Amino acid sequence: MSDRDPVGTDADRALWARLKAGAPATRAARLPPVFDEELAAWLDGRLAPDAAARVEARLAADPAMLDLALDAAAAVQEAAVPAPDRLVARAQALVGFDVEQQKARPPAGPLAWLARWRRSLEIAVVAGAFAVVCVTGFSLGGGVQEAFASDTAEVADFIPAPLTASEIGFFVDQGGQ
Amino acid sequence: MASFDDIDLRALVAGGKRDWDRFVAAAAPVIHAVARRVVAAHGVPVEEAVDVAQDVFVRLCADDRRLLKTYDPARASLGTWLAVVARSCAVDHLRRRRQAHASLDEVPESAIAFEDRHVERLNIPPGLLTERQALVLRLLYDRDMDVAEAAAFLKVDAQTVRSTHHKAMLRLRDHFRIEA
Repeated sequence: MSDRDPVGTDADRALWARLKAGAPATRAARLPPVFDEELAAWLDGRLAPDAAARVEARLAADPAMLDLALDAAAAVQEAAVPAPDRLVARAQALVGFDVEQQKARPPAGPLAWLARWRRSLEIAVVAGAFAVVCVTGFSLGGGVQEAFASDTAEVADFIPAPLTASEIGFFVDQGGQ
Repeated sequence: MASFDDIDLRALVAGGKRDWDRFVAAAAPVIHAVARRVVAAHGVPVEEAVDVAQDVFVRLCADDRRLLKTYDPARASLGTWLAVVARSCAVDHLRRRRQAHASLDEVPESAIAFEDRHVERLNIPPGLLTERQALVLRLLYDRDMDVAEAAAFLKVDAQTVRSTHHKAMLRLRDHFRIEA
């Protein structure tokens, strides 16, 4: 004798079969999606009645979603069977000890502040150094005043002094001859 | 066996090696159970369940544990959430594997039948059955569950399933004018 606990008559099954043979409805496509976390909450019985009804509507209309729910529920029950050691070893190897070391030694105190602003500080230091080099080099060269004075003197060398009256007379005489 | 109760979630998502190892020890049985069911349902050799489960762990720790960080302990238990997420990841893994190894013409129709299940719909007028009634009929007739199995899945007692089924059939018969 089977230990199954069936329900429904042959007439019930026949009716259900006739309904399945009818034109396909697009009800599932119109239903809002159910996300993984909602389904997990429903499986745990943690959803409010209206949210649970929404999930159940989706499960009733979407066989793929129902497969997901049935597999997940069954897997939770089957989890008493230990996983193969090689799976555990491979999965544990996905995260290395170097990650732990980096996470285990965060800078503390003022160093933590420096670490947060490290990039900005680097840019500021380089910009400051560039400005110091420019200013210092310009100052060593004499600055603006000396450069202006030097330029004026050089220009003055090329400008002749105005002619005196005797010099004009000399040129007039030379031209007359 | 390791327990989910031993897991420090904040330390886990922060990236601790010891916390990851503890998490793997606790999660491996449920993720492997999901992988076993998925490979069996899709006609893949059961030996590949380890690879499928490993891919789930890869997804969980990828992108600085982006997927793991979406878990909200206030909404569901870690074991149930992992089972749901692992199932989605495992089906994705097999889908990608199938695309990589065979052209669509080479795949027997039965192997891609689970894609077609999306379009299987009942022609029952909206609102005729409650969501729970429709789900109970699905479980009992489409999935060939017995009352105890359906009750366990829905976390209700067997009598509630019987009663829900009875009311649903009454509504259907009444709507379609069918004698019992």
